[in-house]
Amino acid sequence: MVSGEPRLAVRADRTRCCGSGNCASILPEMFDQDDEGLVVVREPYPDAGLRSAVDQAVLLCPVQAIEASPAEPVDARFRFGG
Amino acid sequence: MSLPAYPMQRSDPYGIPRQLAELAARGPVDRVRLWDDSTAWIVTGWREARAVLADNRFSADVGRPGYPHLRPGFRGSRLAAAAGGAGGATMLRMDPPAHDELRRLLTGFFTVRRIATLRPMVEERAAACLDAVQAAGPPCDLISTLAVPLPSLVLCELLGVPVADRPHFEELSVALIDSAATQRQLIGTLRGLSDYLEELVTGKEKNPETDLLSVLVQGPVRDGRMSRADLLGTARLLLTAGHETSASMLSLTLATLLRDRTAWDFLGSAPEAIPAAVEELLRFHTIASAGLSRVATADVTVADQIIRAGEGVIVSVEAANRDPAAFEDPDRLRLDRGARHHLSFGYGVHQCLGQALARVELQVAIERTIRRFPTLRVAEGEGRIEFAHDRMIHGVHRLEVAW
Ligand code: HEM
Ligand code: SF4
Repeated sequence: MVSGEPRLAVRADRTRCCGSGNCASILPEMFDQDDEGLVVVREPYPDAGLRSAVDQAVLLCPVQAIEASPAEPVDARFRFGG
Repeated sequence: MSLPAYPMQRSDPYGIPRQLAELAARGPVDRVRLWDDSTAWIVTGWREARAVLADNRFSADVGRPGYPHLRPGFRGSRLAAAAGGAGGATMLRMDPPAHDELRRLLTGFFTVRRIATLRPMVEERAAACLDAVQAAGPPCDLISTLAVPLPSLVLCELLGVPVADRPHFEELSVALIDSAATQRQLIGTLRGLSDYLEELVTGKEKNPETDLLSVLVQGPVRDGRMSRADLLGTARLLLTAGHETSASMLSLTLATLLRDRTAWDFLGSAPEAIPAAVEELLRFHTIASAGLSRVATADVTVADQIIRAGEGVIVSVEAANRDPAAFEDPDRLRLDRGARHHLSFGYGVHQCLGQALARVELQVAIERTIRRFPTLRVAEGEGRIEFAHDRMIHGVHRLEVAW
């Protein structure tokens, strides 16, 4: 992994989630659902190359539970040991 | 000038009513007149439809004053009525927070992963339906042999209807979607269904298994998070929301693919294109054609119009699904367009709980039918296809095929 490679920060609000499964269905490598059907973010700092796929998940979420923003570079380095 | 009457007459099974298209072309929010001379807002823009459906200031409670009723009596709004008509409200007509509490007891059964484990079962049931088509020989009606029974068989499996009860259950669920039934017959059917579900739940209480009803009986019902009335209402909702919808969508899908041989042959040669095609078919034939009804509980501005508290709103998802701002050249069926943002399963907290299951049913039915009968065609002669324009849910009565 290249040091300082741009990453996204993805958060999901489980109190809003209605278990529609849209995110888990279009981007299973990023999103999952727990036993109760609520969203679980599997990869909170994905590669920025996933931007458009993540945006699609944001768009499809029927209750606006998903948020994506560019991650602070320090976050990415910290998490991924770049 | 008087307001246009709603619901509007459909003349082309592959299009939306002409008057609705005209209304949508004038702007995203407008007004219509209902059967009882009351008026309601109608939302036809994709962006505005999402805004209304995602806004909890719009209530789905059919009992609230101002809620737009599309026809007299419970024949009116089939989804709403069948769900709320015979005893107790169901989540479909409840608002948060009560809605969310009830829905959360169910979402675990409908996750993408959980539903994926049901795919082999759906394939097996589809194969059995296609065996029956084969055995019947041409000309054979695909609606009564495949489109109607498949979703019913899948629901039996999900709810845990014992094999011995299936003929009775199927009879009830077919009667429930029989558009020729009188109101009286329909009430009788709903009563029969309530009685049957009561018996089914009692059975699960005595001998729980691994199906959805048994799990609910042993968990949330036992520990008091779900009342028995809510359990019965939920069982009824799953049947009413999960049968006619899937059956209609499957019928329209088959009719559409048989009309366009290139589509049939394309999906036969490229089954990996089926999931995307299903999304486009869902968009193209928005079967909740009567729209999704809500009533404002506060003054809300939508596209510069102030919708006052107490006023009814009809979100025309079929018009929104043909909004050129969201779908280029919307009247054309383009199987690979990427139509996943359609509103055919609704939007907001009520977005279809069974959508993953509906997708699997449609994907499996298309794949299996094409594989088994690659040369399938509409049978020669008059009257082989009869569309159902008379229902609140858009569908097909008869589709006779040969091969
Ligand atoms: C192609 C098939 C289907 C279509 C087009 C469809 C469409 C819809 C729509 C539009 C809604 C939202 C109604 C509203 O907002 O007022 C809805 C809700 C619902 N659907 Fe489906 N549906 C389908 C299949 C199914 C299946 C197979 C099941 C279950 C087995 C199911 C269960 C439900 C339930 C329980 C709700 C209520 C959710 C809530 O209120 O939170 N549906 N469906
Ligand atoms: S799309 Fe939204 S509501 Fe649906 S599971 Fe994901 S986070 Fe939850």
